[in-house]
Amino acid sequence: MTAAFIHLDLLPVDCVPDRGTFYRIPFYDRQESGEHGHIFFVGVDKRGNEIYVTAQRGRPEVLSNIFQGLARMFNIPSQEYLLINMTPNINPVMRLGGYLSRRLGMITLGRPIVILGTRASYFRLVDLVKKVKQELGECEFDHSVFQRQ
Amino acid sequence: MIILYFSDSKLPLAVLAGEIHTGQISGWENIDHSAMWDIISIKKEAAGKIIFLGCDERENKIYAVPAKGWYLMLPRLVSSFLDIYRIPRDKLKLVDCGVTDNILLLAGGLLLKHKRLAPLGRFLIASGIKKNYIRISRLVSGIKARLQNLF
Repeated sequence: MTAAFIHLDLLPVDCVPDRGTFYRIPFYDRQESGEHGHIFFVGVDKRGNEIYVTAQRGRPEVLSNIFQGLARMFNIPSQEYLLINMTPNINPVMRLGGYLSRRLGMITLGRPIVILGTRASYFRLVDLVKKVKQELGECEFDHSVFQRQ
Repeated sequence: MIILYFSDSKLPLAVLAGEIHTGQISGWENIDHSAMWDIISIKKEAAGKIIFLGCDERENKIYAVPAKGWYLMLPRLVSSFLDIYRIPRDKLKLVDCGVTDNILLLAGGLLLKHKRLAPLGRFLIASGIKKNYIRISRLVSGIKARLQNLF
């Protein structure tokens, strides 16, 4: 969700937002396990690309396999979509906070920890979004699944 | 119409359902064991990979997806996908096979990894599939009957 907000210029790229800003991001640390797999629309960027987010449990390649399979099934060209796996950017602090908040329901304790982790990784997210925007600018990406190494 | 079978299993029981639907497998007694091993040889890397199995007699396109761990998320993802691309919901029928890996399939899968125990593993898997076969073939018959009523 943070990356989607950076992409839509709703979060800054030159400084780390304060804690309160993260609290105000819709869906931030708010997805229930019953919503995993659902794709949420977030907004439209300056180039007219629709930005969506989804959460999943388990292996991210399963999501891309299913999505790409569906796209092939309905003859949707791979240039029409770009899947970005954010899992490598989730640091242990975010994992811990997410576990406390989402799994154990200890939101008061967990959410500040998630925010702490997100703030620590913030510029990594900014870099990733910049790369994605560059790719979109070129418009001729070879891979429909872009994964940060 | 597109019909997509899925199952909450490591071993691709959804593929089995799809192959029963297309008529590639007809009856446990007449089963071509090489075809069955082809199904089983679909590795876990294939998790989430949608496999085209052919068309049925009514020209419905039959697909299957082994979705272990994605059993609950898959319908949401498919539903979101259809919404995003404004694809009418009646274009795709998602069919939950309602079966999961039984103890025979799990044990067989484990033994397959060991060369010496592989024959026993195959035997267990065949028994495990046989146990699910009747249930899956009944499900497929029900789906086919419903599809006939649609036309």
